[in-house]
Amino acid sequence: MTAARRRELEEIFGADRVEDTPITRRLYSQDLTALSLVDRRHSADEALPDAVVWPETVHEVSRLLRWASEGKVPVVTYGGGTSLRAATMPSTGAIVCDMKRMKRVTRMDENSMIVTAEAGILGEALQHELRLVGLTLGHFPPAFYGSTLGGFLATRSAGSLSTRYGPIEDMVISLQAVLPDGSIVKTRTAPRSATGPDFNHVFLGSQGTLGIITRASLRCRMAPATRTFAAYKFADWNDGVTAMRLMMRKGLLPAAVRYSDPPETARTFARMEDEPDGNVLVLVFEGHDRRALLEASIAAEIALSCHCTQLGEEAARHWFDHRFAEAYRRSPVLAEDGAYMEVIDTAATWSRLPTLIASLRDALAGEGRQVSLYVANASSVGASVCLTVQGHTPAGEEGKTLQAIWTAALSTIRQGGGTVSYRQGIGPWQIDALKEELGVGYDLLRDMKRQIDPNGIMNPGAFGFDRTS
Amino acid sequence: MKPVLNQHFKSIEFCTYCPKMCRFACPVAEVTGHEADTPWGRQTLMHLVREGHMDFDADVAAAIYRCATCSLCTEYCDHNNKPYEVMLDMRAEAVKEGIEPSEVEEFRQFYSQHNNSYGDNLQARIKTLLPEIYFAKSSQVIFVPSGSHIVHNPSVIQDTFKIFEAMEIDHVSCHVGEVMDTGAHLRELGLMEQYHANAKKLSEALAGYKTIVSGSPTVVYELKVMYPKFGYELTPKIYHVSEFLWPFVRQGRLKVRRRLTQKAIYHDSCRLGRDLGVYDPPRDILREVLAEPPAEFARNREKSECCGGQGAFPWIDQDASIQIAQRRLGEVYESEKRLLVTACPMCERQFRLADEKLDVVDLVSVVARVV
Repeated sequence: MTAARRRELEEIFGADRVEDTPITRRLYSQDLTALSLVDRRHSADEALPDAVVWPETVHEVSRLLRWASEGKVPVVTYGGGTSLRAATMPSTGAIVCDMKRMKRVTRMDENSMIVTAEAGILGEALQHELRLVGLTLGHFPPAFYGSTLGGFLATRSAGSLSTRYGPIEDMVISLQAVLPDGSIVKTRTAPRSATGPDFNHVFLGSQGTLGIITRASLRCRMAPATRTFAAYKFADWNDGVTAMRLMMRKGLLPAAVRYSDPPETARTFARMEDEPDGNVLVLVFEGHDRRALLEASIAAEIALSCHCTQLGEEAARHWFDHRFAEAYRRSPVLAEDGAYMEVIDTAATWSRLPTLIASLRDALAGEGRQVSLYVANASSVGASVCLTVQGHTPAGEEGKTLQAIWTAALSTIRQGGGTVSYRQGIGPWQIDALKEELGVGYDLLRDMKRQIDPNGIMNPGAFGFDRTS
Repeated sequence: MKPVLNQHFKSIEFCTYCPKMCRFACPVAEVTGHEADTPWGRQTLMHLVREGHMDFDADVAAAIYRCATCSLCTEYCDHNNKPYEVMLDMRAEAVKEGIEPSEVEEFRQFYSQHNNSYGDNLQARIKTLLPEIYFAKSSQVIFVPSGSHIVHNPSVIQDTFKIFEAMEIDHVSCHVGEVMDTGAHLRELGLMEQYHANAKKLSEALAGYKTIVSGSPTVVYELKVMYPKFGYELTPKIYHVSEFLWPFVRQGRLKVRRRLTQKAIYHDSCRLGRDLGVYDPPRDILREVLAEPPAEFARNREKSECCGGQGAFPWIDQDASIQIAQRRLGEVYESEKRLLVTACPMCERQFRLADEKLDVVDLVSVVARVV
């Protein structure tokens, strides 16, 4: 970065909140994307940002973007840096805007059960504040401990209890965001509005391409007073899927409904004594009164009508207590040269789900490779599928193997009527599939990007939008 | 340097590929928001150095000193990783290679000048605090005072002996000698040569006793855990003062005049709690002297948050260390507890620096108020 540019940034942030040391640039050049992690085992070449800045107010964000627009400097917004889809990986010469100093809870409206917080607050920190007043957001994505509210919003994430509490878009009441020209957009905090298209949804899932989300007001729930656990084992995989569908059709609202195939079951319960095996459905109901118990008993009736055996509550309790374990899984695998592990997520309607799952299993199977999956976050319409693909290749071949896995997965998802992404967002390798899924919608999205960000400064490359798109 | 990194291979690699699941627990990262200040960031730097993608230079060395070694990250690690152990070992390497931050050199000079971390003649000062009788060598139980208490809050030491007297524990003498400091900060800053010289002398001075007691978890941890690790095995049993007092309290030896009616909240120090596993004795004692049991922080016991004073971190970045303490105090203000009780001089000092108006009291001084 030139000395002049640095001085300009220092005028906005002060010298201590602008950094361009080699270690800072290096650490902010990566996120947790498997493809890039395995590539970096063999090469130190990477796109480095020019500098990192830490805004503390929305006005500083506004000044930054105005400055960047004028100078046509790319800006990448950074929360926890835990994206699995390269959402925060900067292009060369970018300025990384780390939001973690904007982490205040600015309003706790206990009466209306709405919390307003700045985008840089970590998921656990926000939940901690809510816990102190007996509330919960109910949003627990796998990397909950490491990621920020802004990351949840910009990714359009979902969590392990989203069946009951909804994914993040269901929680957002209003947003504040800064557009690339520095103007500040605020939506109204009201229970609902019929004021034309919902601008919140423009920013949700935008992966930092349209501006920077700086604050959000979110719907909260009472922290549950009761919680019940149940687990069932199905001899036939499809019987478990049917049980889930029937439960949701009846309007049951479990906090968690998670159905794992045998390899996923083995992983999930590996540390449990007397661990279950086979196809295991875990149910967690929580709430404030007898409804949780009542719903659990109705769920049991449905499950048993679908040819299963009851496993008791221990397995479900174990899963709940270790529900973030899947986020820790990759480390021991990726620590080994030649090893790879990728998480692929999709969602489909109940009519398509069984076939799609069978096709994905076939498409991703390979020698020396393990494919495991679970179905979760169900509704009356359908459910999400989360697949983990793990294996070994000769060192140096990991990236190629992962690309091949993705190609097979995306093609199968497209043919099977699933969505390209359920909760992780879109990586560069998913763009063609995204174009196909959105159709004309992709052109509209690109036009909107041009309109809002004519200089293409915001997270260039994301969604396949470069500076000239 | 490479052998040290290879020795920590698993720890470094597991952190490098982790989605930063402990980051919210890292007090330094929470106040700065900087990725380099997270356990992931520091370990990733170690990974890059180990792989040869980055030099072990002064910038990297500066980053590894920005860990308060509070060990809370480990509580949220499914793999029981201990990134702070890597940082401590690599600090020693940084010193060997002469790339340590300037603050470390300043500390080295300070320590050499005063023969302790606190900047006073501790030997002379302790003699002014207690009657001569307590320095007699005949006792089998020796109390090792905290340097921080001697300099910053000497009344805690006087309160300790007042309680011993009130409880008729008359077999404890107070340590005074050439070495009054365990040298914990030397080790934490990687100054191992001075640390060894210091540890050798102090361990020899304390060798003849049957029991060692201290009001400082840092002292207890150093003598009980770190000295043996570095070859200075001490035969005496070593206790924090709360562990030492509790059996006597349980026997009814503490005659409470009138229980304190102030509302109190108890803060677990990292060293006393996570590192030494002492959670209940301070609480048990407080229940005997308070009208109402002490309140708890939402994150308490194993999950207790750091005060910012650990790991010699105030020597590296005092502003950040105080911000860490202020962050912890947020909950005290919200709970309207008037008395913040801790059993660690480091925590006590940090909280006082963070808010001089707050009533921060050592456990021992709370007890002294009722005897």
